[in-house]
Amino acid sequence: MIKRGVLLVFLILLPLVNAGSIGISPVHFELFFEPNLERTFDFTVSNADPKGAIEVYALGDLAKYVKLSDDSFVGEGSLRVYLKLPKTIEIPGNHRILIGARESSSENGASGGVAGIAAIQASIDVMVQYPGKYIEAAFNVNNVNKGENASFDLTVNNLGTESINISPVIEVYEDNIKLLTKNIEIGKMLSKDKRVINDFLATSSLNEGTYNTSLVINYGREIRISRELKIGYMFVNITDYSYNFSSGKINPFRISVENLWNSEMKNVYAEIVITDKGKVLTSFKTPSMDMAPWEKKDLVGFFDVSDIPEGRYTANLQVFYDSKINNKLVAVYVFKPPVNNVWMIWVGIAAGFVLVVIVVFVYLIVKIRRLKNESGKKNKR
Amino acid sequence: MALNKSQLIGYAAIIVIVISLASIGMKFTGFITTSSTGVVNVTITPSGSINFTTNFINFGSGSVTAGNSNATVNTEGVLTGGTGWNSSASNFTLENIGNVNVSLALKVDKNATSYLGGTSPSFKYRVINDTEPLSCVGNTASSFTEFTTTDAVVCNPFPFDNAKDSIRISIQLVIPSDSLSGAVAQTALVTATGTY
Repeated sequence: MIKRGVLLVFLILLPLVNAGSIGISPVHFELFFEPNLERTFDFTVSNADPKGAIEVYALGDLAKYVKLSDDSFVGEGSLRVYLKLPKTIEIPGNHRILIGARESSSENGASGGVAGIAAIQASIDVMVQYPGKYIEAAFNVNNVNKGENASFDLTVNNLGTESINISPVIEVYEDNIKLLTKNIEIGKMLSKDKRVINDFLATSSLNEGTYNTSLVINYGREIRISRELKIGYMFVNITDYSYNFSSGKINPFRISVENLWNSEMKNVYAEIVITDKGKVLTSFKTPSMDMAPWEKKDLVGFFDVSDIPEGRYTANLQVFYDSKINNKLVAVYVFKPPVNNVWMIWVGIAAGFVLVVIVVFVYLIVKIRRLKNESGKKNKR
Repeated sequence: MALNKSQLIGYAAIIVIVISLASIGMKFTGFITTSSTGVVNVTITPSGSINFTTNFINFGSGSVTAGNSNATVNTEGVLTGGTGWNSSASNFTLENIGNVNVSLALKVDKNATSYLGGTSPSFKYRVINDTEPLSCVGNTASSFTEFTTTDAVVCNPFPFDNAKDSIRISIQLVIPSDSLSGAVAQTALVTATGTY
């Protein structure tokens, strides 16, 4: 076979790069900015290969104020990071310094191909306070099952230079109707204070469903964080299913299901019974599977339509889970697969083209004859 | 009869051996008359660690077939427009083996132009989140995405839970017919960076 073009060779005799992992510990430090502050941070960096080289580095807008005890290690090492902050930092907020360790690329002596190297980065967050009053908050609420109280986590950081008094409120809504209110008394927070609150919302009386929760903190400015809260019950919902099947062959039959229980549901499967005016034509099962809380999955079985004529039938979808059954009667259709008539379109186009050619040809012949007749008459004259 | 020093040591050794043998299989039973509570403090330092369990892709050698402007080869079994290249090369496999979630970013040291050259080359990756679903939250590269030489976050987070801490990364090259010819003796380095 004649080949033209470029010959591109990725020559590798051996995979010269060993599988590599890289680690760093601990992974996070945080501090508030103070003029000319000096601090040291100790990290351990490691490579799974005891002879593997590790390069270390610092990144971020404050990296220029960082000095590393070493530039590289072999196998494992203790890295000391010296930080000497400047007199001022103009921009308030979090300034992140990343301390990274990566496999040394010089190890990758391979000649060609694509090699992967791993890197890992720990962070040192330097918070420069905001002038005046300023807080930041994080809020999460955890889904529960019906009859349970939902736990929530609230973290409030006073990142301003002034003290504040706050009383956060958590509200639970359904369709914009407020159902629950929980007041949290935090009171006075000094500058740099951090409060972490883990508590419960009294959701045990609420029905299953999806609710909106809002955290509101007002300190002159308003912070509002919305989170979805799902209250589950032991139920596997059928959300969709296949209903059109081609006759004369085996078709996949898909049932989309959703676990509405805030716990894992094991051994979920479906049995499908196809009937025609009450007479059972066939039945089949899907493989069983486990479903994580709130997970959506497809159960797939196979519907043999080889001997079932075209028409409308009733399918009884039964989804089995934890000794329970969710049942749904639906209509399904067996039909002849559509005939591939693309060739007919091409035949039509070709016929049209031939017709146009014939018309043009006839027109030209008539025209030529007329011209000949006219020129003959002129010659006779 | 006085015992000398070596006899004393010998007898003591025999007594120790006898007591040791006698205690084999012995069970101590009885009532506890006093109790105390032991407190064990264990501090697990957060540790970030990622592991390339498969970290080399060898496409081998090949050529663009006559009449084609380029050839496409990837680690998902595709080879079109060319012959020779190995489309059954393994994907990269990457695992979070630390005890914290990290964000995961990818970058290369050479983009398609500098790695492959020629007209409209392409050097792409795709994060496959199938063997341990939910391992790549917010996957920004579920379809083939061109590599860049700066970090592009692909998973955030890349969790550490054992059931969902592993992803595969497939690589695709589009090699133009006027690409760098001859032996390409350079390796493209893909850096996977986990950041806490």
